[in-house]
Amino acid sequence: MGLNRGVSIVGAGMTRFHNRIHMDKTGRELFVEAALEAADAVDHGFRFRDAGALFVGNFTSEVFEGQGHIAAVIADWLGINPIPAYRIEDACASSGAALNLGAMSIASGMTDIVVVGGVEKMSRLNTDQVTDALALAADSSYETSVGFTFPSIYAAMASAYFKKYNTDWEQLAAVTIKNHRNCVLNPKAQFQLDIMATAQRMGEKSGRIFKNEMEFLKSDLNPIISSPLRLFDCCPVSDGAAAIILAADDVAGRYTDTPVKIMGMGQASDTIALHSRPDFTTLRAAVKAAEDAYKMSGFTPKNIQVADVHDCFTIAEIVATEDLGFFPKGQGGKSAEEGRTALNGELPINPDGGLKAKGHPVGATGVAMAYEMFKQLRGQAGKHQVQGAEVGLVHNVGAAGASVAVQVFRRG
Amino acid sequence: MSEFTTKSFNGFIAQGKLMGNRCKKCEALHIPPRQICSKCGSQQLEWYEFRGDGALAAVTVNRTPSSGFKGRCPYSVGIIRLVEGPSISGLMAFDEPEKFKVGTRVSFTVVKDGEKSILAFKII
Repeated sequence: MGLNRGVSIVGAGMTRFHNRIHMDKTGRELFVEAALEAADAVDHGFRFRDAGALFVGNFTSEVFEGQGHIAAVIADWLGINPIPAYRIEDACASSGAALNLGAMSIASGMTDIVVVGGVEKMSRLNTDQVTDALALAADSSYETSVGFTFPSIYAAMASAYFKKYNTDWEQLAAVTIKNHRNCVLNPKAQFQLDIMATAQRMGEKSGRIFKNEMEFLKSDLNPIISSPLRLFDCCPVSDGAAAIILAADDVAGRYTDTPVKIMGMGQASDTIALHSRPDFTTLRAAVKAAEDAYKMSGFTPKNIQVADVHDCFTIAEIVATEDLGFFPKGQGGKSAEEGRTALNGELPINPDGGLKAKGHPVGATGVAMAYEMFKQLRGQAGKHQVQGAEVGLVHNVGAAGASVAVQVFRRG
Repeated sequence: MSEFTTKSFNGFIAQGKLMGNRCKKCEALHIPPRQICSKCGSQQLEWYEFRGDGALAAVTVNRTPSSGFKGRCPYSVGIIRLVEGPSISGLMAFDEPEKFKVGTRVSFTVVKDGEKSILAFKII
């Protein structure tokens, strides 16, 4: 299976992800900002009116900001009526799914150019309300009803992983430390402090000095959210939007000389409840989506030079790097500890700071990952550039893996 | 017999019964009950009562609950691999939350929460 017509990214933009600075803006306004930046990033110029369709990934603007029908709202605000505006909802994989559908719409021949993006405006609700809203992505009838929340489902996954592979929380902390080192180099990231700087700042407030990152991460300043996951194992609440412009390869040359081509893509589903799966230490949908994307692309895990994976919780990054075939089962955590996934490691994972430190406005995340690949593969990622990267992969997960979208990109 | 719905399942829980269904074609067991067998696609299903015994396959002590569980915090919640094979999520009850570990043997119980009956497990 493959696309009957090649598709490339010719422009990408995103707002900064943040929990406070966008407080006075709505989701539509954030999306327009991201889309304007994407249009500006098109080397030979782009007008929104060139687009034949709009695809918007969004989890729940109804709950987060009291606005439904968000794709139509955004099409209106971009000034591109009457083109079709589609909203895609696959929980946290909404915009990864939107990207796949946008590419398929071009491949189908219905249009040559589409705008694909994602947005979530989460900060209007307090933390308890956000917990309830995110829990809607799990099984309301059979998981949330017995006390599971979104973090506690991943925490349960971590408990099974630790037991199976005889490992512990310290491997999770290695992911936290690595992703916070990366976010400092990414001006779009919500957090701008590494863990040592965070420890110093938080320590000062309570008159304490931490000798190293681990001492801080094991302290009461990093409280347990749902054991074994602590605060710094969890992505933050964020507002933000990301947008990309996709073009058929046969017209992409009008827009840029260096497109980023979609080489392969995959999307898969799995049971909504974690308990219905035979193994809680892998996401079968990620394995399947990646298998399809690799097959279409002609690449294998060994060809991937940079990847953005869905680290909504630190355990998720470890499982992802195994599901994607980068490391053997049970070795993902050790690989993070050994620095193999660091910015200067053999396979940099989440050079932008990941969901953990860049932020996770859920509906925006999949396209924000594609934004990162657009920058990385064109050598425009600034201080967090992976030197010489030409092939990259993104992995965008909905809830606990009931939906997963994967794409493999190459510099065109 | 009642239909294979969440409402029926919850009604049985309130009566202290852990009910799923069994595929008449391929004998696969399902909990909660499904309308279509996820193994063979058959719609020929019959109610099946699970013993309710099993071992914890995944578990956590949750300290940041959703709004409905605020009063219980901290509490343990996990996934139980039932002796018959399938797994189900449940609230861990009647012991300190830290006592529930992966591998702990538990059995089905019900925790009353006002009008609601929560699917729960206790240490055997």
